[in-house]
Amino acid sequence: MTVRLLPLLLLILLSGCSALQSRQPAAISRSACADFRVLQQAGAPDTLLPQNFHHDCTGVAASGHTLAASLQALQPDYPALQPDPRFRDVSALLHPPASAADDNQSSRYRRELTAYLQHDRYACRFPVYAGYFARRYRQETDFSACDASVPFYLLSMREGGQVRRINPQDISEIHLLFSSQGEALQSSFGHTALRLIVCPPGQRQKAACDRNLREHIVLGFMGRIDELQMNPFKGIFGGYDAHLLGFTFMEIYRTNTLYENRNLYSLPLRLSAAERQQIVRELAEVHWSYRGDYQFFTNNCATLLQDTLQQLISAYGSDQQLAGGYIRPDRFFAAVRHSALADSDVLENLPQAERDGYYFPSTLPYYRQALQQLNRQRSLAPVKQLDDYPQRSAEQRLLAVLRDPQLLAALQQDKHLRDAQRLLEEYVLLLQERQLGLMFARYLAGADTARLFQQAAARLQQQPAALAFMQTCYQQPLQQLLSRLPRSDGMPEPAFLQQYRSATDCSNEQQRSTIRQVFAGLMPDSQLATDSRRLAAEIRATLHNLDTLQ
Amino acid sequence: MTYRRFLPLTTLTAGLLISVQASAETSLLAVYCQTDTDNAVIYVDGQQSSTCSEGERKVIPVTPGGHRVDVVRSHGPEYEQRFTTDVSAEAGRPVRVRVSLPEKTMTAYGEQMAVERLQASRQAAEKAAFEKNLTAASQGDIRAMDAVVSSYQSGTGVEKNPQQASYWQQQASAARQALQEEKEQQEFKAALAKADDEQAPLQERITAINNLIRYYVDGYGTAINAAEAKAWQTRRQQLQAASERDERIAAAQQELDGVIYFPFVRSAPEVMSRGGADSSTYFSLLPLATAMDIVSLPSTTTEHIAASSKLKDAESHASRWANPESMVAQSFSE
Repeated sequence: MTVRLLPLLLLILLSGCSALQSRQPAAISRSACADFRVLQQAGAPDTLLPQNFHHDCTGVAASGHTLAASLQALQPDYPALQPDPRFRDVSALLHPPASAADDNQSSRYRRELTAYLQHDRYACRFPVYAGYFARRYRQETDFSACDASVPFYLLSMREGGQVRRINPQDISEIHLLFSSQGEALQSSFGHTALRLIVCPPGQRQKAACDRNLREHIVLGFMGRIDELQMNPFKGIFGGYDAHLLGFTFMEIYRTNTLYENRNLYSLPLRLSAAERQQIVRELAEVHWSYRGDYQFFTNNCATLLQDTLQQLISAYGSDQQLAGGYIRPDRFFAAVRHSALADSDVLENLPQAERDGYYFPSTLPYYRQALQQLNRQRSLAPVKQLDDYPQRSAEQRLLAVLRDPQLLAALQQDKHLRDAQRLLEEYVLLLQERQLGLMFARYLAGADTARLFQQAAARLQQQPAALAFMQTCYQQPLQQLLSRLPRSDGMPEPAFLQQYRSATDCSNEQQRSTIRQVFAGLMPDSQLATDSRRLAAEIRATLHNLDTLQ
Repeated sequence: MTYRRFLPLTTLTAGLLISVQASAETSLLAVYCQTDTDNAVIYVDGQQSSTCSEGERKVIPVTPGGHRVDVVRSHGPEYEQRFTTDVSAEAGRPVRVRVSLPEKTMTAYGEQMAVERLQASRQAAEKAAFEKNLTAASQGDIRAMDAVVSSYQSGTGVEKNPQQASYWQQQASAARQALQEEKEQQEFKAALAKADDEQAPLQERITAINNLIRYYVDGYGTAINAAEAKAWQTRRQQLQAASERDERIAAAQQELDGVIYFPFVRSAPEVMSRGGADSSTYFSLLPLATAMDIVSLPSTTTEHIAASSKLKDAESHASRWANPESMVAQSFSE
């Protein structure tokens, strides 16, 4: 605390602190006492201190004279203690735009500065403001009293939403991630996000960290669409919430490189270990706190990320490349790439970058390559286009292999070729998985879910365990799904995180079977039901194909 | 031969006598009236000389030299059957003419009567047409007015009458003007309706407003009104701005549709039909396998687990297969 306050103390001393001179005798709180003691130790004249102030703070605990009151008295006369433009920008990272604008910046500043000065764990709960104050008053932020890890809520189609705790010290690098369609970096607007390179527990070697792709996470701003039809007007002029969302890297990898035929470019940012720790904590706070307004042209994934980096990375603001700001994600990425902030060399040689984990090209060419290799061995009609392959039924695909003696012989002899055949089946499986997701989306869109759960609950009245399972694993997550995600003011407390009970705990096969039977009886005989059954049969057959090829 | 077989002796004798007499007058013309020649009058050089009876021969004394023989059977004043031939008679040598009547033809009188009747008919038709046009013109038919003008000018169907022609010319001109005004008013009203139609596509509205502005400036279908023209110019600017905004929105929609992070983002609008204003896009809060239980896909948990395992393996397999040195391959081959 002493080290942290010295520059601030000097500011106060230079400013004269005249407002304290006329203060009536009053006692101060025990927490504020420590800070005044620092002032006293630093040589502040007695006129700056509350009357009756004693070094050991005895006899002053019950008084209402607080540091906040002193700051309030001091603040109007001393610019160094007033909010600067950057404070407003920092506030905007954490608070909804309306409250950031409406709230009196001075009072917010006084409140936060007081808390910053008074509470040892302030930086743990509010790392963004703590970072701001530290930079402004040339302090160092101390996280030693904080939990070792910070929580992120990660979205994954496979595993559902889940809280993942990340130790900032396990982050070896922070990358700016850019996805773009086509070969050229700037062939489209693309999208930007941050990628945290999370090391395996207890390991810090770069290679181990880089290879730990399963644990890497991606944080990106995106709009939260909350109505039946996406409204482009709101997309442009505002109306959709923007969140800093968290994803597993593999979710982003799969979505981009397979489903979207995009390439991912991952550009390391030049940050010290201390900066990384600070930024990861700050990102976690923004992740839980920021509920902004997503606007396609002016407040998008690129601009919001720029705003965030500008406040969180001290060197960002002084970089000429980045000073102007960019609306388009591709241009923003290009600017960062050419700035001193990033290590752009890693992307100079893309094959090398792919080896090193800085470039993740679309995997569609790989699947096409597999198809071509198989076609070279086929004596019967080849599948000309990759897109044609999933159009065939699983049975037709397998029969095409089994009926072709030349291909069959080649597959039996050549494992690489056999893997190519498996690869194509996996390609189909991945597409079917996605189709399932969309089917579920359609189901939710058409179903009266509340009524559905009421009916299911009625059928489970005699099975309390199954009823509880259904409510916990299905109904509550769905209610969460259909309601606004709670916002935390600062880093979330454990009680807050209870709301994010992970749905992945619900894997009891027996209970799931019961639930499935109950819902099967409730599901109306619809086109969706027919399509579901057909798709399920195809998935089952595709799995069978894979087993056969194995 | 037939003729000789039935020819009476007296006739033959008389013929010889005539022949003797003719010989004395120099020549004879023997006209053989053949089938269907009854009552046809025989003219020699325009003089009626005898009358035919079918199958008979008529002997007519003539002077040597050229003669015209006409054999005519009349069918009233306008039609006749006429046989005409020119013969050359020599002294002491009879000339034989075999007469067959041709089809009925019109006489000169008949020709004249036909022409007169045609003219009368034409005049009657012209008069009827004129009267019809006059009636139609009186009812406002502009083309009929033009025809009446033409009739009065040319005297077709009616006597020439320059005054009436002029009168109807004015009537036609006035009617044309009225028609044009009505057309303009209709176009003006249509443009006004389209310009005000908020359901109409923007580009159609803008086109309608462009017309409307021109109409107000030119007084087309409405009175000239500079204030209205200006008001609509302002409206056009607003709509053009809206149109440009629509284009931007369309472009934005395309981009928004391209938000990549998750497939469910794009499906979110569907998902959220029941969610109301507070619904969220994050349906991945439910793991897909669990969600499938709600949809009650007829598959088993075991299959979900098998699928999940294979899918997890699949997402890195392409890189492992095609580029074993890639970071993805390194990460997932361990």
